[in-house]
Amino acid sequence: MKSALWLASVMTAYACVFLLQESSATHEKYELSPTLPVQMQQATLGYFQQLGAEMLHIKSAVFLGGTPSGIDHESYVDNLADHFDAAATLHPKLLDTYYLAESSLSWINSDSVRRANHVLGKGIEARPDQWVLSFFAGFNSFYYLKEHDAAAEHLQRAAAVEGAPRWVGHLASVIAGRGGDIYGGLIWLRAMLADEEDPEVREFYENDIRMFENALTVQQALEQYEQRHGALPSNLDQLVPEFVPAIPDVGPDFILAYEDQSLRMMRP
Amino acid sequence: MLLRVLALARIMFLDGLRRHALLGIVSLAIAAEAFGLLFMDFFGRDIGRASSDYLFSVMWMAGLLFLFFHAVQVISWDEERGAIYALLSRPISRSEYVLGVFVGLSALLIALLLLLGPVAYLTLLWIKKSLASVYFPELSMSHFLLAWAGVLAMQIVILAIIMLFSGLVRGGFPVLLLSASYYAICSGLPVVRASTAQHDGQGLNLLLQLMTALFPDFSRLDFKDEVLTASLSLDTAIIFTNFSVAILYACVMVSLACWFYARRDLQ
Repeated sequence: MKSALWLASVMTAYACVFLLQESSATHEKYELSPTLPVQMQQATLGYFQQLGAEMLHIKSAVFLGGTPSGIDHESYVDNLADHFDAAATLHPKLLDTYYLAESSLSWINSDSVRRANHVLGKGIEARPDQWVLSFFAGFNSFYYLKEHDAAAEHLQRAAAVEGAPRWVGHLASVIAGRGGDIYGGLIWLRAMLADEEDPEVREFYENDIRMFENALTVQQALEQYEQRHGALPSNLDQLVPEFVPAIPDVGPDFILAYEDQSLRMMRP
Repeated sequence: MLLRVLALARIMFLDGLRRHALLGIVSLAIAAEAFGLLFMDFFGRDIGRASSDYLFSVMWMAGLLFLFFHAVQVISWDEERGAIYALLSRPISRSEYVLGVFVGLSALLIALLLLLGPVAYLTLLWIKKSLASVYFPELSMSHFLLAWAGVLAMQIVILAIIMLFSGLVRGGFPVLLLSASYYAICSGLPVVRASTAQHDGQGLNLLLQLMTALFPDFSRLDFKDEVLTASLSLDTAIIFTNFSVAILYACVMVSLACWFYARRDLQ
């Protein structure tokens, strides 16, 4: 009887303390715990490196799946980026890491988008057969960072991958023009045209090439102006009529913009 | 000599089969491999790769459990129970005893991996058939066998080291500590080499290279990534060299174990 009473008392005490612990645990701050330095993980995991990367992926996915509404995204962004960086170092061939990094990291702030591109860089190196990774990096550079030259470079790399959709190459050339690289965009478009058999798509490319060639006359006029005056003009009207008879039309698909002394082909 | 070694190996093999701990490892590993069917649900894209990594990790873990919780104790059990004297009273030398234990434990290890390998392959096949090809584009049986042989070769090397430590020190626990430390150095050394290769002097790099001869780089036998490829990304000559290094290293370590054990005081 005594022992039964003792057992019941101990079990009741345990249940009370356990419930107290659980009630305090529900008020814990929602956060992603930091990950260990990647070299330490490499050294300790050995043959389990790939599994370690997959566990980091699962941990990140579970965390992201449960983020409460209204959470300050900047509160976890560094730890999250560290998780993806470590996962990509431990297992650079695992695609899921890059998809999750792109969807969860790229939009938070300019630092996080750079970190997303850093993680994607590891995937691009390890999985050169995956055009989508270079496409993600190009999209981040274009949309979030406004670095059009870098975006065009990423997209050109994506377009060169076997199996990449043809529109990626076209996008690369348009973005190159937008970034001020009219020459690069034109060369890329001509290469696309040479490789295209569909008459409708060929017509589409030919039209873009005509517009880029028009823009190229302005680019060449700018270079001649700079040679003669030692500096670029403040606006394109200063080129007319000495260097170019008139500013050519590049519409309706493009607008010729001259900003920060750089000629760009912008979409309207 | 070969017959005596094989006879002793057979005793070690049967003794191992009778141990409940080993049956527990097998049951745990098969259950963990079956869990691979659930593990794949955590991934949305590279499902084949994640599943393959997981199943090979289970095989690796089962092998390590066998090595660190059974193999490290076998010689010390014989010494503590006095069975070693019964064995050595027969026309069998101490070197033959060490060789017999090594062959018996290797046979157990091979049996364990032979059991887990087909289960893992069938699980992968099941997963592949249940998915669209974009999520699991390739499963090569020959590359699977290569990765399986890599796991076996690494664990045979660890077993050879366990034999060496068992020949040098008394008691299962010291052998476990030494073997675990050895494994930790083997895992950590390639990371140190990679970090110093870029910017440190030739002297240090040479020292680390020499250390790799003592503490081999197991990642050279890790072919998990090849399982999902149609053609090998590594040169077959390199693969052959890596396996040859592992086999010769194990031979050297077992020879040293025999040499030390033949000269050790058993009292």
